[in-house]
Amino acid sequence: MTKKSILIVDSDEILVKMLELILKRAGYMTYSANNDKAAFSIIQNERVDLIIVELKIPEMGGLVFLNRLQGEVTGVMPTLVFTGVVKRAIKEQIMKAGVTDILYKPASLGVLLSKVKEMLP
Amino acid sequence: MLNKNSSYAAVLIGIVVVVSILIGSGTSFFRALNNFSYDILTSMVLEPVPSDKIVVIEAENSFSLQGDRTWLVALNELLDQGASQVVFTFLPQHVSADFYELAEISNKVVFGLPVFESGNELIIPPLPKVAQGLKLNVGLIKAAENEGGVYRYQSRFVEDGGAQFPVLEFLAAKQLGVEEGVADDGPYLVHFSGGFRRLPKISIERILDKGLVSELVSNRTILIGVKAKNVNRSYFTPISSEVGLVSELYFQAFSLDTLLSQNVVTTWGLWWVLVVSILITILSLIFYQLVSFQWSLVATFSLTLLYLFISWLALHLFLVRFPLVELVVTQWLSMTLIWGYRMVQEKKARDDMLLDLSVKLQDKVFPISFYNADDPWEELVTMINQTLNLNRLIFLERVKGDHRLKEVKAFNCSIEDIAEARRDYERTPYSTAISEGQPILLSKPYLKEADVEERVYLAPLMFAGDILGFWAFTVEPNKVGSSERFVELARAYMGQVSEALHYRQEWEKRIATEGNKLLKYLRVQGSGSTFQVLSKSVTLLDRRMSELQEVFNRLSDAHVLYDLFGRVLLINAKMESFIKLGKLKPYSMTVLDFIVELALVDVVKARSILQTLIFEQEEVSLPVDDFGDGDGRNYVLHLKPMTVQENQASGIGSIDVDLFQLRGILCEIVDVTELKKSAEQKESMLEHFSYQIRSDLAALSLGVSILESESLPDEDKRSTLSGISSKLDAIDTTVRRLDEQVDPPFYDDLIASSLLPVDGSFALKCALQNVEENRLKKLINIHFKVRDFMSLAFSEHKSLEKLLTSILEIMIEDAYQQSDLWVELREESDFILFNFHNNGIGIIDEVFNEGDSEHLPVVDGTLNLFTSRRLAEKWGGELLTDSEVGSGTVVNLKLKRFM
Repeated sequence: MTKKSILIVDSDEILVKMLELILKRAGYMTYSANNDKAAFSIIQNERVDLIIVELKIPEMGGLVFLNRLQGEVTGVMPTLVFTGVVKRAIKEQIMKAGVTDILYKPASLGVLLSKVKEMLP
Repeated sequence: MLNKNSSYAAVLIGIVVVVSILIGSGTSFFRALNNFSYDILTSMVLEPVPSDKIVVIEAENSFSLQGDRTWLVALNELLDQGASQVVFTFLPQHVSADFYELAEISNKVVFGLPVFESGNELIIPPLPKVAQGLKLNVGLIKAAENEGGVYRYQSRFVEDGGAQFPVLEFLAAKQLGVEEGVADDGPYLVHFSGGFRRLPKISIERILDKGLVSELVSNRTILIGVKAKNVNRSYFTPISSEVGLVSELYFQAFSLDTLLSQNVVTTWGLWWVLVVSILITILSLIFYQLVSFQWSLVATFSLTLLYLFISWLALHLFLVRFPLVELVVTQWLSMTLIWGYRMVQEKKARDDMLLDLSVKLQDKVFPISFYNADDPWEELVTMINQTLNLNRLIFLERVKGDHRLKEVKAFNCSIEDIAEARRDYERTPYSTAISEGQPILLSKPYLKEADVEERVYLAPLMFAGDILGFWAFTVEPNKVGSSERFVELARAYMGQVSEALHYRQEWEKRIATEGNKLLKYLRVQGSGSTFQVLSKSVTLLDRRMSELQEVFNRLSDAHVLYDLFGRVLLINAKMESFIKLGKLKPYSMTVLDFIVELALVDVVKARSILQTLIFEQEEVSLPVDDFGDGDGRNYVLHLKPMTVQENQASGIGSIDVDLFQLRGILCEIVDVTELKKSAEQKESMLEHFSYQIRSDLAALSLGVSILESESLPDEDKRSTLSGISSKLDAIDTTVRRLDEQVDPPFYDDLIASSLLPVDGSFALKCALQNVEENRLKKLINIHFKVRDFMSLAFSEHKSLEKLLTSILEIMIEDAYQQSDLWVELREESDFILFNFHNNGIGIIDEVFNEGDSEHLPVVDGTLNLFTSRRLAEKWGGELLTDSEVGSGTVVNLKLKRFM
């Protein structure tokens, strides 16, 4: 059975490493990108089943990335926003951009994994 | 209505009027006026009715020489035609005895016998010989009585030595048995009304020609006379202005007709005059108090005309002569006295009011505190010098009632230094300064020469047109800068010093009259200077108003003051600029429209806001969502009810409640751009730190979870530990950066540039740092509780920090060693509350409340509680303290919250 692949888009390298370690140990294949360009490159070249994205990322920013993702990528692309930005106004914009779910940092490992499992059954 | 003394005043006025009328009635002036009016009324007849009692025959003078062929024939004819009486005003001299015998037999003939006066004696000429011995009816012909040259009366009798002889007319009337009008003995008013047209006449020739018609003479008295040879036998009568002089014959005809027709005019007696005068006076006293002056005047004119009409009517219909002058004078005198009294009272009330107003105005604008200061002039000199950097100055005051000047205050000089020895303000250079009305640069030496080069100026000190004194000052040329600017500044101070000098004089007057209010009032009234007092007060008030308008104009935010009816009362320059830009139209908007337009609320909501303002008298702040100015600035609409506190006048029960009266609504468009920017900066910064910490905590949390897993390879474990360590460092860095960011340098500029409002939480944190050393010495554990986002508080940053430091020092001083101190900052409705409490020793109540600085714990450089309380009150807040010995101390500092 092919492993589900998850793309982690976050500029915090330590956090990305930890996420990769956790997700790999949970049986997923991971890709990581520290900016939106790199993320699009992976999306275009690799099969990605789930994107975990931080809203504060270099270049265009998470929100623009999500909007572009919705416009350019065909098919359903589950997206989990895992972010430290807690503004209510941004949440509404995120949901409009086709995001599947939001998880605010800091979140426990259990909650994070259950969300991932929920989105990648 | 007249004032409270009106009842007495009215009675007095009534008495004056009636007595005046009574006195006037007895004077020749009133009589002359009454006669004059009687004459006019007499001559005013619409269409006279010819008399049916009398016929006049006026024969030419030559007929007096005729004999029987004339007079006997005529007498026979008249008697034959049925004349009831024939009256000859003369005794025909050339007739036979037949004539007189016929007269005797018929008993219908009366003769008139002229009498002459010789000294006090009356000379009655004898009858003609042919008539002597006969019983003839002979009446005397008496010259009429005149008054002021006008003949209105005729006598009934002629008296001589106690004997009475009937006058011809009276005798004739009596012969016909006419009762009325003959009962009295005195003269009677001849009824001239209708003039000659009232008296039918025929010629003697017609009688002699037998052309007489019976109807013409039957049952009438035929009065026969001959024309007088000279006009001396003519009289000026009431109708003479129209018909000319009346001959004696016609005067007798009018008199006889008056008696025969019973047309004797009666005149009112004094009692009737009195009664009517009293009646008119009483009615006038009431009437003139009820109507305005204009209506009083109209009514009086109308009543005068009415009296004229009634008099005319009474004279012609009822033969009553009204005392017209008395009636009219009563009316006019009543009006004059009542209105005169009212005007005097009103003037007095007006003067009192003006005086009262002047005193009130003076009280409003009199800066008592200025003159209560130990040396107010010293303060004034200091203030001027701070701005103008003068070398020397001297204030000179005009000596009252003199041309000379005296020194009020001098700086680096004295009056002795003035070279101009006369010090006469009517001479130069003073007169020049007065005419210029501003500081003048003196070219000639005025003050004693100084060591340095100086310019010497002299400024007149005038207030409300009065010359109060002069201000001489010197300045070094290099300190002046722009001369025009310097003179302009000096001129501004000149006005202020003039006002201060005026206050000084007023103050001295007050001191002089203090404790003697009556004297103060007497002085103001005695000098007749009510207008001057008011004028000066109004000048002061006007100046204050101008200054207030100027201050209002200079407010950086746009302000408009509406009255309760929504009309604009006052508007400042900033608001005017908005109007010019077309952003707002307050003049054509009510306050309701203003709120709806700016705050983008609907009318219902705006009305509710207005109700809050008016009825609850609470201030309201509304965000201005779209001001449409396009310059990216942010505004808040602040609505403030303007109330005036009025103290209840004493003496009415025991009402001690202060009445608050709403006078208007002040709308301020406050520019909050800078505040908003700083708030956004703060928010942005906190968001950033929040994000950073959340991210780092997320990594920490996940890292710890990874480490908890049992089968984690060492390499992963190491890398995870490394990551956790890095994140811990990152969190530490973030917190440090946060501290740095919230440190004074970040806010210094903002706080320094805007003393009000300030961040209370920041001031508290600064204060906590200030007391750290003392806290550590006593090992006090401080529990600090403050919300993330606190509203700003109205105060001054540095002073607030100092005040909070002082409170903390006192609380630490009061606390036991190693005890707790709780510090909390929270918002309560309109206030920011700083709450401090400990469980320390406690401070004795008396010392605590009296604020005796000597007994309060004071740390060097800090404030005691008394000063702190004053400071809090200065900011519109309050400092509440409570302490119980053995239990601890609570201090609450409440400061006004900024929006």
